[in-house]
Amino acid sequence: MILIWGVPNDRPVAAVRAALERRNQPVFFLNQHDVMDTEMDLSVDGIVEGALRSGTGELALGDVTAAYLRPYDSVRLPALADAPPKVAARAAAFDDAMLCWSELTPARVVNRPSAMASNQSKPHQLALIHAQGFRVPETVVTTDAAEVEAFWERHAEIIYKSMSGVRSIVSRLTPEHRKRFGDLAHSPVQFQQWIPGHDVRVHVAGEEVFACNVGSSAIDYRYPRSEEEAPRIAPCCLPGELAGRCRRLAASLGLDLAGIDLRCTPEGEWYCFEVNPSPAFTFYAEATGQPMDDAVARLLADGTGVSARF
Amino acid sequence: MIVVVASSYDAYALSIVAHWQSGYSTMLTAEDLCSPGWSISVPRSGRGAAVIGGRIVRPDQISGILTLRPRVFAPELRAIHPDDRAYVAAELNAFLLEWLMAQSCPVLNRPSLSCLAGPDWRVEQWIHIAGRLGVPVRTRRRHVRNDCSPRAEEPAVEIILVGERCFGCDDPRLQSWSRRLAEAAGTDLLCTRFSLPEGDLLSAHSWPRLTDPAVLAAVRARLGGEG
Repeated sequence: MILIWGVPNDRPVAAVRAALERRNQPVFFLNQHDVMDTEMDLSVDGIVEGALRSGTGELALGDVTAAYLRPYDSVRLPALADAPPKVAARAAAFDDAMLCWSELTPARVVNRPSAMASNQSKPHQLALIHAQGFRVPETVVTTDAAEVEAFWERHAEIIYKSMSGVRSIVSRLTPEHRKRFGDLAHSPVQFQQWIPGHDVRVHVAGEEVFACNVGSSAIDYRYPRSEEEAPRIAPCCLPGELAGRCRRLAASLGLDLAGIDLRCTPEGEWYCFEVNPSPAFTFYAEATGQPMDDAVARLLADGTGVSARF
Repeated sequence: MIVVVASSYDAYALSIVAHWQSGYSTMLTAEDLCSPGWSISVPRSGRGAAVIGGRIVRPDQISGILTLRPRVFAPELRAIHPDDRAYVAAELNAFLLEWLMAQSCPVLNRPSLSCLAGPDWRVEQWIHIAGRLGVPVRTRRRHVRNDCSPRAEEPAVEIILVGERCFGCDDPRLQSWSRRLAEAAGTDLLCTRFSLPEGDLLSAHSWPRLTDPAVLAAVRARLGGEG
């Protein structure tokens, strides 16, 4: 049995669910909107057992061979936005029990929450990416204006962006920003060498690798400011053994499914910026026709994957 | 210098620094994180600078780090505008994680991706690994229903482990199981609770209360200070 946990209108969830149904794979869909009507029993010693009961039916957790997780924080769901504390606590307890199970089950989990956490510290994730042999942009995190000036002078063009999992728009540093350098003392800011070139987004699903060129004149193609900056996405091939390196990078982070942001410079040097552990791959798949949903479905149907830590 | 990473509002952390006497150990607080002078780089260079106790410190001036917080919490950032506190807290956690990960001195406990101090495992995760290691465990059950009742406490003995040293119980069997569990989790500080008289593992966590002077001396020795 394959367990999917998320909300039905989330596009990757819907795509994976449909792909599994096309393959006639048995699916138990755990709809987060039903969290208050779902019960869970979990029993842990050397083995992990338990059961889920929802409007969909009952599922013995021992029967789960694979799980695809894209949950939101339940208490942030619209239905629970103004819920009384007792209800919110009950929803949070359910989330925690599910996350606990997903760390311990021997089933393939795409992806385990502990592995996804590398995305919560971009500087640390970048250090991990560099340790895997990828070129990464030189990065400094500082509260010191003089340090920024020196870094800027060394690299001529630099950008700044958030360090945490909170999404931010990548922005180029301009002389106008100097008047805000005093704010640096309030919190460290991450600055990065600007790497010229074209963006390539790579999705790794187990052993399968999908690459696409992302053409855009925007600093951050996710946030185009005009029609001209809108990303043009097209499938592409990775040179040499770059696909293998992407596979190894995802595996080193404990990720069965990953979205990897690369850039190729005009000199042909490849840089890696970030690994998304819960990629919204449908954005790219819908533009390219690459069958990523089928690849994820195959991965889940295969069962045993990146094992629980113990 | 021993660095104690904690909130400036944490009386327990302040008492540990006082016990070790100032000048030898210094707090690294959220206020320090929001001060001019910090610098870290990726790829890691081994250089950089930190602000600790209001002073700029180089990595080679730090002999060891004791982290007494799982993360930086938004409400403690009183100098930051309330609308910005959640964002700044997330940024400080991301920053502090990489700073701690990059340190080459002893760090108790080493951070994990989801926690600044140790693996941040739930009790079930400790029980599961202990069971897989052959340590006797009490099955842990969780029921998420609409009619949950509180878990009953039972007689237990608690062991605090600092590196190889155990405190709180002389039973060599329980000590050996605690060491095995700490080694498997990659953690130097560990608290384990075993049932009496059976000796089944009931729970464990990596944030033991450091109040016993003997335990504090062991921590200090582990961090490069005198025992």
